[in-house]
This record gives sequence, structure tokens and C-alpha cells, in this order.
Amino acid sequence: MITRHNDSQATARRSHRALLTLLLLALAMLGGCSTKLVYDGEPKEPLFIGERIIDPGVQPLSAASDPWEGLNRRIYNFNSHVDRWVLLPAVRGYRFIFPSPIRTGIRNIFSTFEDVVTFANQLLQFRPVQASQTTLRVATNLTFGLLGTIDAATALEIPKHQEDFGQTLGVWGVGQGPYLVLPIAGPSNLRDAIGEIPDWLLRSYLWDQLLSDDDGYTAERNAARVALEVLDGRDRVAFRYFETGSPYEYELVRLLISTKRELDVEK
Amino acid sequence: MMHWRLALIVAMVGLLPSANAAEHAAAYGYPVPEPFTATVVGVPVPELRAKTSNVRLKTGYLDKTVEREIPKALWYNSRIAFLYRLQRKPAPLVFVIAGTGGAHNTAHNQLLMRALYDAGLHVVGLASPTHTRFITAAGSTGVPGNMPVDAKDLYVVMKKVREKLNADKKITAFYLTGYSLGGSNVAYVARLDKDEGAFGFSRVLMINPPLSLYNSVSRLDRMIQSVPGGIDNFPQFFRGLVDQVSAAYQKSDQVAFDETLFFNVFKANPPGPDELAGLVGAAFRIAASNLMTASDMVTSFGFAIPANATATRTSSLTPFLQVTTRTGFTDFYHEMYFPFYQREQPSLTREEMAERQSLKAIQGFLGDAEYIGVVHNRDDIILEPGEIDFFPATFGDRAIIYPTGGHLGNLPYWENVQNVVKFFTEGWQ
Repeated sequence: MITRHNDSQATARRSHRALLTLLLLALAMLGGCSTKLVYDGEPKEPLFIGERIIDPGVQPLSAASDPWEGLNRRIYNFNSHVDRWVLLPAVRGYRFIFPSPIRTGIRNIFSTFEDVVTFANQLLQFRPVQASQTTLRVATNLTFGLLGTIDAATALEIPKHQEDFGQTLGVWGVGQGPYLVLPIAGPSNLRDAIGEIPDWLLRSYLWDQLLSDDDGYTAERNAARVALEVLDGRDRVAFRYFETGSPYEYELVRLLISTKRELDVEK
Repeated sequence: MMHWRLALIVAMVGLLPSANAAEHAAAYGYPVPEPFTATVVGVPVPELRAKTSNVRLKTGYLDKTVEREIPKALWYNSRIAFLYRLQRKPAPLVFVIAGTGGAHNTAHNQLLMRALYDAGLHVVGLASPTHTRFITAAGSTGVPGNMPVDAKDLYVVMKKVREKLNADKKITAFYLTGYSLGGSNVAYVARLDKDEGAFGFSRVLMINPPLSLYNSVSRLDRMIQSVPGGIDNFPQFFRGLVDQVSAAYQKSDQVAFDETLFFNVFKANPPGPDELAGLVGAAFRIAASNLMTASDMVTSFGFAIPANATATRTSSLTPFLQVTTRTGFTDFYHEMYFPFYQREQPSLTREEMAERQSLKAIQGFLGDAEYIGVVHNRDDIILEPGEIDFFPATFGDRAIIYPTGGHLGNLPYWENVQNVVKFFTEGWQ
């Protein structure tokens, strides 16, 4: 009994320490994150300024609320480095080791877990029809889909929905709040970032049920699961940092993501 | 930008009347008669697109070729990227240069490279000198669009790429092609190479180049006025595009952000002719905004960013996005580009500068150079009325002028690609 718990307590302590380090790092970064230009002497006026050439009534192109822009930009840049030096090489390794059918199987298993999270949120949003479709999906994939490795439901044209707790909060009337770029996870907003927590708890609970055996909790297995989840998640997204050829990539991503999340809630 | 273009390309598949017999249909089977539609939708019938292999093109990098420090806000642009694939056996190498604002790996670059690779050539794809990364890491002045200067910068990059590939032993000849502004670039590079001789290009093909860069840019600039509600409505128009694409994404049962999805978007809501022109104008505006901003940062000219200010890695650039999508290329030309180059040569007039950026300035060279060919479209929307006549007049039977296709809409059409390949493998004569 004691030895079994020692293991998970140590893991918990480690993850607390990691969280604390991250928080301290974030606070440290808050320091040097000014969004202002650095002037050499008295500011000179450029040839074209917005106040002079744009009517005050004209709606600005990029309207998302971004009070933490300095920190967000810094994390965006940080994420691009993590992507280039850690995630993308890891994904290349992942693709090298696992042939395509196995990767698809892995993707389908994670997708089934997402469906369960979607189902929970559909209940919270009072969408019985969609919730029953999702139930059918999960049931189909767990049985005919050989425990979720084959996406039989899509072959049978059972619709796939995607709902998370951020959207549920949106349906309940909570606005997006300030734009927020999360370390590693990427662009989000305050509401959706908070919404990640219950979804994550639910997923972890389900995985714990699956991965625990009679001896109790198995941290290693769970770590492997998280690693695969991250690799598969990155593998699904074609986006590459700073490949848009635009100095305004940050603004464009912000506009796209906040519009998308608005529509996610409306639909 | 690519997304909307792609979106529209695929979207229009189901919209076009299947039997719109254009008057030249018997001779030329490209299926879109209207030039703006052609420009936006490309080749909407999959069977009519050129078929190429799926060969993996590799990405290579060069260190910056300019002395200057990379501006802090453009820190990620410190290297020059190129796309390439070499044959195992000795073969000619062809450089492919992208159009305005295009990266080394644009869809057009990849299509041309694959087709030419399949035909047995070594291939290298380069960004346009107007791409932000090129401006930052390879633009000697930092102000792109001056054809002789851009040619010199490209020439430096091409020599470095050749050095990096280190495959001279199996390169039997050097060829060159480019589309849109890249088509003009290759003419000037060929002109430069005639004096410098580092490559000795023996086949050069220009694909839909502007005749007068200034005229073409002005035309594209004016298209923004076709945005419903005018220029003041540009933010809403832009936002509407994002909404439409995202909305279709949401409604769809599919999770993938792929082509069939876009197909459904515009099938439900087909754009009108004004909207299409507005779309082309908007795409160009965004490319212009990227270019002006990078150029402004690199030169500290003070166009939209105060001359004595530095944008850092975390500086908000949002106000400059508002301004530079509002100013057009012609504003950039008159207020920054021309004054910038006039500093070097005070006697230069605006007219002289505009003439210098026209292919007319090197007409004699183009007429005499038997190894240079051109493909163009009679209805290309970047040309002023009558400008198309320059090409058959100058190149004679080294020019192919298609009756339709708009600007590059027919580039992926099978017959067009076949003619490009034929030019480089056996010649047209």
C-alpha cells in the first residue's frame, strides 16, 4: 500500500514543482514584454498614420481584445522554438517509428476519448439529439471499431461533433475574455483556457480507468499516453510557425482563432 | 492568402456551366472564359489539371546574403529558404522563381518543379524578391521591385544555392523560369547573366509577366475598389471571408480543413464578379502590406513605422496592419520606393523610374535572345489594354499567347504545363 502510493506521490510532487517553475517563468517573462516601439530620441512621425488616413468610424481589421499582448507575443515566439526544436523533430520520429495504419489507429483511439468529452459537454449544453449521435459514435467505435482503433462510425456516416467546456461556457453566455497564448498548447482565450481544465480532468479520469490494473495506478503508462497524445495532436495540424510570409502572422492567427471560436459557440 | 485562393479554386468546380463553349474551345480547352473567375478558380475540373508525380521536394537553407542586422521584429527571417530536388543522373538544372509576395514553396512553384522533375530535370524553387524573407535576408537595398536590383540579389542567391548543392558535376546546363513578377525577374536575371556569365542560361521561360510593373501594380491596386462598400469596408470584407471559411468548417461533419470543405462553402454562396475582383484586390493588398512593412522595418524609412523607432520581438504591430492594408502599392511607390531610389540618383524622374521597370527597357535584348520564350494570356488581368501585343511582337514564334486564362488561372491546365515542359526538354520549334 505505502510503496504503491509513494510512486504517485513522488509524481505529484514532481508535477507540482514543474508547475511552480512554469508559473515563476511566466512571471519573469511578464517583466520584459512591452508592446511599445523603442524610440531613439523624440518620436518622429511616419508618412502614414492611422488617425490621418482612416475615418474614425471604420471598423478596425483586427478587433480581438488582447490586453496581455506583450506576454502573448513572447509565448508565441517561445512556442515557435519549442515547435521547431522539440515537437516537429519528435513528430518526425513518431512518423518514422509507427507506420501510417498504426498512427491512424492511435488517432482513432484519442478521437474516441474526445467524443466522450464532447458527449459530456453536449449534455451540459442540453443538446439531446447531438448527444445521442455522439453516444452512437462511441458505441460503434468501441464495438465494431475494435475498441476505438477503427473509425467505423465515420464509415457509417454517423456525424462527428466537437464540443469542449470552453464552448459550453460560451453557450451559457460567458464571453471569450482576453486573447491568451498558452505555452506549448498555443492560441486560446481566458474562457477556453479555463475550460480546458474540466475536459482534461475527465479525460485523465477515463484514461486512469483504462490504464490502471490490479496493482494500482501506473504512472509510466500514463506518461506514455500523454506523450502519444501530444505527438498525435501535433501531427494532425499542418501549421508551421512563421511560414505565412507575413510580419502580421500574430495578428492573422489571432483573428482566425477568435473568429473560429465565436462560430464554434454559435453553431 | 493561399487558403482563400484554394478555397475558391475548388469551390467553383460545381458552379461552372459544363458546356460554356468559349469561342476558342475547339483549339484550346481551358474551361473558364471569364478572366477574373479564371484568376481565382484556376483549373476547376480535376481531370483537366496537369498530372505530376508526388515526389518529395526538399527544403534547403542559406545564411543571409546581406550585411545588415535582421530587424528584431523579423527575427525569424534570418535565413533564406529554397526548395529543391536533384536527379541521380546528370541533367540540366532549372531555377523556378515565384510571383509577387510568393515564398519558395508556393503551389505554382511546386507544380512547375514536379512537372520538370518528372521530365528529368534538376529543380530549384526560389522565393520572389518581394517575399518578406527575401527582403529581410537577401534584399541588398531592402526596397524590392527595382528590377535590375532584384536581379542582382537573385543572382547572388542562385550562386549560393549552387554552391550549397555542390552538384556541378551532374549539372549539364542551367535553365530559368518564373511566373508573374517572377517572369519579369527571370528576364532581368538572364540579362545580367549575359554580362556576368556565371550560369550561361541556355533556356529561359517567362510565364505571365507584367509588361510595365507600374501599370500592373496600379491595376491591381484599383481592384480593391470592387470590394462591396468600397475601401472603408475592407475590414468587414476581409472578416466576411474569414467567417465564410470558418463557418463552412464548423457546419461540416468533417474535421479536416480540406478542399471538399471549401467546395461546399462557395457552392452555397457563389461570389459575384465584383466580389471576385475585390478578392483579387484584397489578396494583393495583403501581399502589399506584408512587403511594405518588411521594407519599412529593414530600411527604417518611416513609411508607417516611425523612422527612429525599433519594433521589438513583442511590439504590437496591429496599428501598422491597419495602415498598410489601407495604403496601396501606388502610395508605396510614390512615397517610399521612388524617393528611396532618388536619393541614390537625384536626377531620376518618376517616369524614368517607371520605364526602367518595364520589359520595354530590355526589349532589344529579349528580341535577340533566341533562348528566351514567353507564355501569356490574351485576357490577363494584370495587363493594360493592348500591352499583350508587346509579347508576340518582341518574341515572334517564341511566344505562346493563350486566348483565356486570366492571370495564371490556366497555369495548372495540362496543356500549359505540357508546353512548359516541352520548352525545356525539346524546345518549341
